[in-house]
Amino acid sequence: MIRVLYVDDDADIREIALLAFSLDPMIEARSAATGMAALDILASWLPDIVLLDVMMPELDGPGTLLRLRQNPATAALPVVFITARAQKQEIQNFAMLDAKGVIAKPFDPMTLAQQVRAFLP
Amino acid sequence: MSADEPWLDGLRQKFLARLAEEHAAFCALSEAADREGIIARAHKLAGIAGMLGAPQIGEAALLLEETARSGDAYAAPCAALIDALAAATNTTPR
Repeated sequence: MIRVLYVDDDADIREIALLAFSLDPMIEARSAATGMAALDILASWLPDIVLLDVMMPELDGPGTLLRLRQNPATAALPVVFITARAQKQEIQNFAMLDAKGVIAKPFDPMTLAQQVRAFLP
Repeated sequence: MSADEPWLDGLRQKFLARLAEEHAAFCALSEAADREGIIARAHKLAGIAGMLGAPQIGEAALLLEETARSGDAYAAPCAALIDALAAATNTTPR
């Protein structure tokens, strides 16, 4: 079973993502509305990959990733950013933050699970 | 497009039903020259519209967000988004 944590402040997009992951019987997905909420979940539930919206209030995606890297329990978690129309420079910046990659938003719900699987060994 | 998937019907109907509210909100934000409010609302709309069968609204919202965030004058892309929302609202079964 592949465990996925999807973090986005937009409730409708979280719902779409969870519905999309539910199409894949080998994926168990949870969601969080903020970076802080994600850190709370990760304290008791470790996924195989974390998907982070870039722009979120309070603690944004890059800030959440930095917090993950500072915690030995989550330091090695693969993280993928979800962002609209990512520029080349922005993608390079994400790579420097040790992100595995970027999924463009709006994403295709029918292929989201497949895109996520491609980031895993 | 994926938004044709039956399992997205409920969300799509909910989204279409709130387009009139989005139209009114952008009119008010534009009138108030609320750049930060426009950036925040356009960001949310850009994220969801393309997934639920309204790519033209998503593109217009993304252009508005990027323009307003850059500090440039955003009146034209804001007007374009408001027009797109008005058109979608007028053609959406109520």
